[in-house]
Amino acid sequence: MVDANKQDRLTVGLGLAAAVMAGICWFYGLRFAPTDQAQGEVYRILYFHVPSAFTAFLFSALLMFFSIWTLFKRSPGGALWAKATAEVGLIFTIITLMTGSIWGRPTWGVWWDWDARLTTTLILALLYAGYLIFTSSMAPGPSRDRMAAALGVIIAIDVPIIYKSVTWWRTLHQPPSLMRQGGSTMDPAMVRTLMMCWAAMTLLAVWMLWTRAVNLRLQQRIEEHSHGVHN
Amino acid sequence: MYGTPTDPIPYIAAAYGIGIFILVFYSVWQIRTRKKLRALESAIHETGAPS
Repeated sequence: MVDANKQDRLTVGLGLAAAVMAGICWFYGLRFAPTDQAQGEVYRILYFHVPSAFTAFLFSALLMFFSIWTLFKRSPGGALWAKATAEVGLIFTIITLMTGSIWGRPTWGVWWDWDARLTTTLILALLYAGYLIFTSSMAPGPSRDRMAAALGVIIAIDVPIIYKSVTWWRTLHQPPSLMRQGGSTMDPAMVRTLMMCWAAMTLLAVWMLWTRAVNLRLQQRIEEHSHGVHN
Repeated sequence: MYGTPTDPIPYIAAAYGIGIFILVFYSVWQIRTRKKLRALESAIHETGAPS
């Protein structure tokens, strides 16, 4: 139990460190990053919104990785990590949608528009939620793990569609300004701040993933023990 | 909207406030869950029930 207590204290410490790093990056974005010529100060929301979106997309790739791992290795550990990944991915997708909506109101004049980028991002949130409902409602076992893994791979397919949506369709959302042919249209100081915020948010997300996965493993051990006692 | 510039502060505060609230809420929930799970695990070990 001493080791467990040490591990839990380390978990809290690492979480606080990641939170402090994220806080410093957001403060830098709010206080020191240059003002956008077209949007004014409200563009500073993007230092929260864009890293959240990148993290949500990154987690869909991670979900695909754990899903493929589950399918090929038939490992219950992969399914557990996949579930934790989907949960954290859903959180960052919800944050992306909410902060994007708040940014959209003063910039576009609307809270929401059914354009391709926003709709495909909403679909990503619904897919993550569907995945979690599915894994929670089915009886544990290899059959559930395989079906969830197939769903996990499908979720990842939505991300390239989200990315390309602004070039494939005519959208209210602007085309890529960072990862585009011919280089970024953003000020280098803004790009640096954005990348710093993304790095900090990714660290925070990895910490959340690790914490959730350990909790799910503990929960699984307790449930297995409980079934062992009752059978 | 011409001639009536929008005050960005409430929007920035709302976006950061909601984002930070969700992250803190989830993290605190996970830490509290860990404590409960450890207590359960410890109770199982103390009763000496077979695993």
